[in-house]
Amino acid sequence: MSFGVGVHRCLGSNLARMMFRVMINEVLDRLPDYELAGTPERFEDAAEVYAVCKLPIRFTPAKRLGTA
Amino acid sequence: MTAREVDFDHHSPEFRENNYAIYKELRSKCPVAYSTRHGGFWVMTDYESVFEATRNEGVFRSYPTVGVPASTLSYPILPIESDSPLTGKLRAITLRKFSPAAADRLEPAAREIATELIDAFIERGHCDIVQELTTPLPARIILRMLGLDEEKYRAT
Repeated sequence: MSFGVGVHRCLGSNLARMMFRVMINEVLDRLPDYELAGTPERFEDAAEVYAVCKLPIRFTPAKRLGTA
Repeated sequence: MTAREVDFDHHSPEFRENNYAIYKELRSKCPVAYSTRHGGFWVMTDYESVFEATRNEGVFRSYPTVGVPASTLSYPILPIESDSPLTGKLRAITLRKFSPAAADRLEPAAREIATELIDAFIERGHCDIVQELTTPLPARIILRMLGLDEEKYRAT
């Protein structure tokens, strides 16, 4: 993933990396056998980045962890 | 700087489907080109030109808009739609809040939100991972940083 260069280099890059790490870890821990369950849908107008707005997956159901 | 007019539209479906091939062709034939679409704009497609441009204030301007076509808002979107010296002032205020250490401090919050979001679909056996995890998590973290109601992360 590219965060650019120069004075406008992405301000949120550290935050983005942290959130990405957390989400990858959580997905691999809790949905380890996930697989694609349909066709990913890209935003109509997001050509500069490969941005999907819908990404259906399936996995073996498991128990909730939280109390919320 | 040599320039050539090209028919380049980054908003077109053709570009969306073939962006790498189109970039490759532009880069090999004319890395600094001028497109007549959207009222006319410069297109730089090689690393060297882009890197050089970002260090040249006369070339790389972000105020009043970075949009092609231009944003129709009556105000610039900060901090991105600013130039020096305002950009530097804004970054001095915000950099601390987005430092590696600040990101580390927010990791427990991100983990808590991720747990809650995954809890909401894990018993179902399927989900839309973009709509149900990767979109709401960053939105809620930002709202939490701002002290706003994070349940209002949805646009509608």
